[in-house]
Amino acid sequence: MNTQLDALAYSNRLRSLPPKQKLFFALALLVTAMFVHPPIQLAISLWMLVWTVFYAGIPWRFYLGMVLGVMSFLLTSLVAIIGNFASLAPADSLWSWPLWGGQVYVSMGALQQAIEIFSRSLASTATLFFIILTVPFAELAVVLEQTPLPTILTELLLLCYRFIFLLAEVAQSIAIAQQSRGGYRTRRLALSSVSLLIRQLIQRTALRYQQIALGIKARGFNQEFRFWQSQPYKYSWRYGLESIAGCILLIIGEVFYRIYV
Amino acid sequence: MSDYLLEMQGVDYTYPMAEQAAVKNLSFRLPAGRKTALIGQNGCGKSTLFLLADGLFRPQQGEILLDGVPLKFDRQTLNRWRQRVGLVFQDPEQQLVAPTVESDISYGLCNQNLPTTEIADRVQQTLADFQLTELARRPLHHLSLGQKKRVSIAGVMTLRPDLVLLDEPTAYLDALQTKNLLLELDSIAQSGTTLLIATHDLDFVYQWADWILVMQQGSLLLEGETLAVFEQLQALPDLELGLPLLWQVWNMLPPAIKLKTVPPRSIKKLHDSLHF
Repeated sequence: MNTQLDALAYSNRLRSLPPKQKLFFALALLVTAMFVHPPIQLAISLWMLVWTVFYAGIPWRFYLGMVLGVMSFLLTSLVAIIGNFASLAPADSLWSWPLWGGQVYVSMGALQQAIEIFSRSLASTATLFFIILTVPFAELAVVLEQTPLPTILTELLLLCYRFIFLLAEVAQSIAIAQQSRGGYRTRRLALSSVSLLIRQLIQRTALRYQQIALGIKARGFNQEFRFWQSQPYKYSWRYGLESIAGCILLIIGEVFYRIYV
Repeated sequence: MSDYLLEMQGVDYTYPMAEQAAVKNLSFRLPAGRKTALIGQNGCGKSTLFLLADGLFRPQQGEILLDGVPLKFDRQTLNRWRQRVGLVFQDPEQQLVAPTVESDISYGLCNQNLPTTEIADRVQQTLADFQLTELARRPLHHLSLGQKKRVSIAGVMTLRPDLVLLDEPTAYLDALQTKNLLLELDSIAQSGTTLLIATHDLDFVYQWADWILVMQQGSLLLEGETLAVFEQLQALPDLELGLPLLWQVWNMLPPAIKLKTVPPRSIKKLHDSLHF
């Protein structure tokens, strides 16, 4: 469990902005990214980088690591889209290589499709990271509660969020205890230690569930999880204007692209 | 309002599949407004007593009363009961359910369906009382164990209960955290709330409590004023509960250097009671 992600969401410089402002902005960009052309999508990615790294103060190395991590998965799948195999490469193919009696080739259409997928994914990832890194989960849940989503879903999300850290702590303490007694000395021992850890984790989860059920009852559980949270947010006109102006510029850019390119 | 807040009359409780009863024919009366400690060896039924007292377990025999009114196990009565009797578990993780400090403190208040403005006011007040204002928007998993303990007590105290049950409150705490907790418990007691604390820490009990209950094998063995109970415990070495360090030191000192006859209950009082 990456707790640094969570810690940054609580300590970034945009924390005082209302979560709704950040969410609407990111969602507007996400929707825009679905319909515009690759250069505009790349502009969205760069703009999100500016917001996340420069405005929110997320360490650039951490941000880059996250983006590269996700994009490396995407790049491996893009290879399958770009490369085609046929007995004879079509005349409009950009490159071709002979292989096993046939030809591996890259066509213009496949390359364009790959670029579109890549730029759209990059823009979507950047907006998603902007939300993850600047809006703490608890505040996200409060916004979700105000949407028509079923209450049970937001309650479950909140409980899962709480449990993830509890179980991560338990798993970590078991792993340390195993390590201190040479549980990971060889590959075979490591495998058996991991299986023991999983077994222990399942047992302790069941026990923890019983304990929490008692704890919740003792606090007067009333068939639903309801909490109150203060809202000490300050709407920022400066950020608000930049986001509106930026979105308008992106749309103008897209119109120009469609007319002239 | 009677002099006794909580009362148990011949209460029995056996866990499912267990051979022996965890609590057996347990009867006691808890004096209102006092700082009571519940002591006994591991497995003597202290935690079970707390779960029974909070209405979380239903006694198989006997009755539990609050201000002379017996506990009934319908939802409405239980909700009212749990507003008046707060339970702080040994492990704070067991009762912290919300993502942040302020939202967790608000949990019990939201369950009472109070108006939002009142919830907000009471949460802010509780945060200030427990010096948690700076941590208000912190997620619970970013807190230390001592801070989590404070939040778990604050979450119970915000409901303004008449009686607070604390299971091993000093467990896992270092000396400074224990000292701070003691101060918090004293200020809660001064506000008129009755406190019942289950603990193994006899030094803590000796200095803090003014009434003691001693349990053995699911039943009540002794009850009374602190000094009277320790005098009786000294006469019962087979119990192997031990004795507070200050008590032992006082009893080892020669009578000639003692200025007082009543055993002192703090280091400072011990110093003041001796003739050098």
